[in-house]
Amino acid sequence: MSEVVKIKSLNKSFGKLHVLRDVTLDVEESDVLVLCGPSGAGKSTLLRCINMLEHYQSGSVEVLGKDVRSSRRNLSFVRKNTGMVFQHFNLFPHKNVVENVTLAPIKVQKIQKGAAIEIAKDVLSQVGLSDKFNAFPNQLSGGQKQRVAIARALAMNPKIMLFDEPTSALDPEMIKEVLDVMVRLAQEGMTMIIVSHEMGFARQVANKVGFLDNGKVIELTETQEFFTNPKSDRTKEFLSKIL
Amino acid sequence: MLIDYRLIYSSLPVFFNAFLETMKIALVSGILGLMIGTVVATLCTFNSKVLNAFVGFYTGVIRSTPLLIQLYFVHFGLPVLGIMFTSFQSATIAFSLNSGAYISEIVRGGLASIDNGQHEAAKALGLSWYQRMSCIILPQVFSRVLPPLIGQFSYLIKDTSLAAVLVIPELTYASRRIASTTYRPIESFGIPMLMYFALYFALSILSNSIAGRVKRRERVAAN
Amino acid sequence: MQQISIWNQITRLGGAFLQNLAFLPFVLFFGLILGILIALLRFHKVPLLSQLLAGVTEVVRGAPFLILVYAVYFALPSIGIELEAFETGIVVLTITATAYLSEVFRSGLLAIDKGQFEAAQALGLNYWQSLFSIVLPQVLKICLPSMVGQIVLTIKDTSIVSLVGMVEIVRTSRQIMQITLDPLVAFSIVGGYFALVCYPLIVFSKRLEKRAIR
Repeated sequence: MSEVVKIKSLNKSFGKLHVLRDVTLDVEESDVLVLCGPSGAGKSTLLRCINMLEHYQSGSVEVLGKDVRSSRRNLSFVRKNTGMVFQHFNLFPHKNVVENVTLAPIKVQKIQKGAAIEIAKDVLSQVGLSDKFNAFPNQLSGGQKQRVAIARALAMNPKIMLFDEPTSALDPEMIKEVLDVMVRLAQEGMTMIIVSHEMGFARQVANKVGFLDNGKVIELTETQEFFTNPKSDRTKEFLSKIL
Repeated sequence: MLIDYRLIYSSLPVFFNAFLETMKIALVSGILGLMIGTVVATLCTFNSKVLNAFVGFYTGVIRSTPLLIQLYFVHFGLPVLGIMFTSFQSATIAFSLNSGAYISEIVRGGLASIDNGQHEAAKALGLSWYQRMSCIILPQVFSRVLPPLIGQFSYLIKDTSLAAVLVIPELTYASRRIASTTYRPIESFGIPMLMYFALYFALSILSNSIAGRVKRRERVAAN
Repeated sequence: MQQISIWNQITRLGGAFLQNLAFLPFVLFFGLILGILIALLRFHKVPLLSQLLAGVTEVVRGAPFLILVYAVYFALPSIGIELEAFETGIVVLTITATAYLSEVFRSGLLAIDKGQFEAAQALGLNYWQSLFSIVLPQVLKICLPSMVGQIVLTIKDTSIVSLVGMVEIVRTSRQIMQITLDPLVAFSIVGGYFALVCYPLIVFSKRLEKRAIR
């Protein structure tokens, strides 16, 4: 199977703070990888290095065969083919749902407005929000906002979806509606890398789980293995506190 | 008699034309100043030491020297270097450069107030710098800084009075001319002052109503 | 074209600049006192007086400085008061400074928790004591950046008094320019003097703002 994301010896520091230490990991097509670990472990930073929202000092990140850092064109290619969902949604408040979703297809992929709206209809029905076409973000609940954010990312027809703690900012009642959408996406074969604390979700949907602590990948294994037979002591400690 | 009403009536057309001249200068300078200010503000987003120093110098000079000197510099100083302008051109250039510096500060404040997540979402979707600024960031900035921008336009209108110095027939110039020909200074200065006040008052109401509407919309969003 | 050496220009203009600065003590002192007074009167909604002061303040704030100068210089003689340029400058600068400062202080007063006045009076202080020991210090702290800003505005406005004949730095520079035919040098020196005084004040005001946020 092809590797869609290849990360080799990645090092990143924020000033004096060494946040990612020699991280190496590969993600294959249709993998659903959940990254977990204590706060400050570097999980979000790692995710954001994949689409270059963070710059890194050394190592390499290859997405779909292209080195993210090598050229403007490659970066553009990577960003067009990866979709990102943020903890705080980051919907554009001055545009309604349809405009939020169709903006990138129109501007970046140069798709005609009519065709873009058809795409919007499709992705919005996938996330269950067909009736919110003309609503503005400030009229939506947190769960609805996040689902629109997922639709907005899906509208670009990405090969990989990146999720940065997608449910951490949600009220408990709304977490399920977002996780349901993510489960469906996984079942459809989307390659997903998810930073999350939702271990139940990980157990149900992920095929791989990675545990990061202090900038290092402590353990990265098949889901079953991870939960029933963790190798490292730190992983065991973490799991015992979470579960 | 203290106030000559017939004089007021007969001088209104003159003052009205002068008022139009004032508005012409203000609108041209205002629009140019807005463009200059926005460009200068976005220059600061590049984090270049050279650009930041240039912007700092520009705003520093404008803010710490009187507008009158800036006007003299453009109209009397530049011809020495071979650059000559008409009175109207000098006035609008000086006023737009002046306004532009203050507007750049306002826009910079607005840019800083935009949540970083907006930039990140735009980048993640693959938008170019220009697309990001023009579609996502600047529209939000302008709706936020509209009240201070209106305030700045209000100052600009008052600044246009200095155009009288270059013999441009705007409101302040007209007031002196009418005063010196009719020897009735109270009406001659009173009418223009009321006109300036009317503009000032209208703009401050506009600014307050926009600020109020934004506050109400933000309260709805927070709920 | 005659030559006036640059050094000569600098000294002459420096001396003339002192004329501009001469306005400051009187204008700022009375602007401060009257500004606070008017702010208090409007804050306590004293009948008739507050509305009158509000109206006058707004008209003054809405009028360009130059037209106020012209109005005072050319209109007052018709009711018997003839002012020289310097006196006109004092009057108009004080009036404008007062109008702007009264607005600054008024919003400062509105920003203070109402409870402060009440708490002070509950402790037994009379109005004036509560004002001076409790309320005013807090108001002044909030208003300090804007007050410094107003000083800068006043300094810059002194240049406009040159237009009714006062011999200060701007008028002097124009006289020099007519002799040397070199406006760039003269005006740059003038700009330099203003910047020398105003720029540090602006920087100071910004730093005060940052501290007030904390």
